[in-house]
Amino acid sequence: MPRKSTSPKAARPIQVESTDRTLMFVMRRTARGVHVVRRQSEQGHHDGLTVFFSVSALFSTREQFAKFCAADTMQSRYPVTYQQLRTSFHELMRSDG
Amino acid sequence: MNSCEATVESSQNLPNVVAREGFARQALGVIERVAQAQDEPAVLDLLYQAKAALGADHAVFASFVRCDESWENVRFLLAAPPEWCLEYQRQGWYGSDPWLLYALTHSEPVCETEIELRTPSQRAARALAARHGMESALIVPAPSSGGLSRLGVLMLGSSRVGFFDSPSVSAIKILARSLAMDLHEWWVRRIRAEIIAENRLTPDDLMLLAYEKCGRTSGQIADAMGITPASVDSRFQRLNAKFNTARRAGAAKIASEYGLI
Repeated sequence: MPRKSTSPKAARPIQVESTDRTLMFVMRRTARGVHVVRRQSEQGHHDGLTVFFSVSALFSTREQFAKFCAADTMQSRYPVTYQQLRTSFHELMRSDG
Repeated sequence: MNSCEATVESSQNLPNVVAREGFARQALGVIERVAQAQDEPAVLDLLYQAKAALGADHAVFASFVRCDESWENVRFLLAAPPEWCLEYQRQGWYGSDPWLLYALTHSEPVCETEIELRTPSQRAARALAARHGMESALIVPAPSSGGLSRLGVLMLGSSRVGFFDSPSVSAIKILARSLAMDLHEWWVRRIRAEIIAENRLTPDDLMLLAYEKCGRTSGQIADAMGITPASVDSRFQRLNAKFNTARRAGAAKIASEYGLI
């Protein structure tokens, strides 16, 4: 099961992490929408090089976030993590910025 | 200002953007606030405002650190479609991205049309950016001094073909360079604070790493810090564990790359 380390209160970050810790999301409500940081570590494309890859983005609508999730191929590998992610995102969107 | 306003502004052509009353003042007003940004959402908000002030549809700031042959750290701050970044990561294009390769060896901002695409993967990386609305792009390196691998690069994008291929781009370049350097310095400070907090590094730890970087022996460090050589070695063992390195020179290299020392 994914680990959810903080409670989903407004303006407080929510962290969702895969059990193997290779994928982690930190989300926070802002005046513009929900700020999401996606962090992933992977053994990579370049001769065993470990790459720590972080993406920081802002989502002002549910549609934008759904499109982002749909484009993420990690969703099929970590379906429970993504379910938790979507739930947390919607909680934050409902809260005040 | 919000992203809707940004779209309205970027519908103009570049000469009109630059000729707008208060253009430079507005952009500088955003840039000078970067250093004071409290957190990542705040600096991302400023990136949104900056791209609007500079007439761009999209803005991406990327930060890269590669300490040795075993790992690298890639961070993207996106005022652009995040799906682009996911595909970019999936393909592993950061190793051959023509814009990043340019930024590794140059400091001058340049329109992407001036960067030669030499390999199929470079052409594919360029095509991906275009598919996500970067038909035209301005590439703005933010290099580090001292031979460090740490690198920042700001990419301003427009969905209009040839948007940045204009004599008016010179004014954008001046402002974008300032924005890129301020974003880079902000990232370095943030990463430094993160690493110190996550690894619970003390001022003495940083001093040890700084001495190591200068090539001091355990005996010399012990004399300078008023502790025994055995204690120096013991502390380095703990630092090696924190940095996941086998040798203390590796820990000092990482500390240097991340601006800890």
